[in-house]
Amino acid sequence: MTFTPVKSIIIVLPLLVLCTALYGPIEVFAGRFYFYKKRTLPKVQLSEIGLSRSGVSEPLSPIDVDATWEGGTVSTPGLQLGDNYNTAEITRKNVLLWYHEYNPNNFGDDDGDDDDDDDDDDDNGNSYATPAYHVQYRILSKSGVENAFSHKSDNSSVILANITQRPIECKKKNKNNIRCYGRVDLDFDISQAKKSGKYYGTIEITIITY
Amino acid sequence: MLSYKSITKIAVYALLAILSAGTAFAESGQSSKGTAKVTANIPEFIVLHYYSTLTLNFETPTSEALGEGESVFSVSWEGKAEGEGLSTTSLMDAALELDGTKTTVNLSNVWAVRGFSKDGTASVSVVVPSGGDVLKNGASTIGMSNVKVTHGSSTDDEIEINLGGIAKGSATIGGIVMDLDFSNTNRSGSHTGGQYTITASTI
Repeated sequence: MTFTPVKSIIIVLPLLVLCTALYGPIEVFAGRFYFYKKRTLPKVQLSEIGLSRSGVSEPLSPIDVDATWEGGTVSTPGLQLGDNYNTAEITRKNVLLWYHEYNPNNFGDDDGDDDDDDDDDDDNGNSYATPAYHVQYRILSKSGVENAFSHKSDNSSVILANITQRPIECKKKNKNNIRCYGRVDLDFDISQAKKSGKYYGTIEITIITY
Repeated sequence: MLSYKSITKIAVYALLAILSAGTAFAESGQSSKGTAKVTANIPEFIVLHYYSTLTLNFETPTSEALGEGESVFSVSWEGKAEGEGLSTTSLMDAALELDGTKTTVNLSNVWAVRGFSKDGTASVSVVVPSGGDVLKNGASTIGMSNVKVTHGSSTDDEIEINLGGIAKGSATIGGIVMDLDFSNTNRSGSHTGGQYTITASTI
C-alpha cells in the first residue's frame, strides 16, 4: 500500500500535533532542593498573649452572697472572667522551610537576552528563568494529628497549626546560581494547650516544579 | 509517494517521540519531598481571678419566746431575793444555738486559675494575714479560722490543681471554706476586716 505525500502528512501531522498538545514545550530543569530538617520558632512571648509578667492576679467585682447560721455551701454567682489574657492566636511569619538552587543557564531560555522590547530592569542582564512551583504542605503532630503540634511529653496538650504559603522569592546567589526560597506563615491556636514548654510538629513538603 | 512501510515507520517514530517527550516531562515536572521538624515554645504563666470583696449576709434569726417555767424566790422584807433564777447553763435551747460551735461556710466558685505550666498543674494556697482573722464592728467581733481552699474533693491550706490552659472556658474554678465564730458577737450590722490571701503558682 502506498500513500501520497498529502495523505502521509494528514496521518503524521496529527500525531505530532498530539504530541505537542499533550506535553507542550519541554524544558529540562535541573537543580537541587534543600529542606531545613529542624526549625525552632521564636519563643512565644508573654506580651503576645496579653501578659506583662508570668504571674497575674485579676480582681473581680465585689459580690454579696447570702449565708445561713447553720453554714454549709453558700450559693455564689458564676465567675465572670474578663476577656483579658484570652489571646490564643499566635503567628510566626516568614518561616523558611526550603530553598531550591539551580543554574539558570540550564533552564529554559538561557541566552541571557531580554526577549521583550521594553526597557525594564531585566535588560541589564539580571533576567533569569524561574521554574513554576506547586508546593503542598502538611502538618502532623508527634502523635499523627493533622494540623497540630503536640507537647513534648503529653500528646493531649496540643496547639492547632495552620500553614499559609508565601510567594516564592528567587534571588541570584552568585553568577551561576539562583536560589528560590520557600517560606510560610504559621498560625497557631494555643487555646487547647495545657502545658508550657516545647511543642513539636512535622511539616511534610511536596514540591513539583515545572 | 510513501509506502505503507514508510508510513508505519513514521508513525512509530512519532509514538516514540511522544513517549520520549513523556520522559522529558517527568524530568521537567520533577517532584521533591522533604520534612521539617518544627518546634514552638510556649511560656509558663498563671492568671488568678478572685473576688476583691466578698460580703456574707446572714439571715435574720427567727424571733423566739421561750418559756423557762416557774421559779420560786424567797424575798425578805428588806428586799433581798433568794431562789433559782435564769443562768447560762439552764437556758432552754432556742432554734438557733451556736454555743461551742462554729459556723462552717463553704464559698464555692470564688477563685479561678488558668495558664500553662511545665507539667500542666499548679498549686493554690490560702493564708490569713495578720489581723485578718477577726471581723469587727466596734467591740463586737466574728472570728474567722480554718480557712482552706477547695477544688473538687480537695480541701486544704494548699492544693494541687490541673491547669486547663489559657481559654476562659477551660479555667479551673475553686472555692474557700472557713469557720466563723460568733461567740463574741453582740452587734448586728457590718463586721469588717476579715482577709484571706490566695496564691496560685506553677509547680
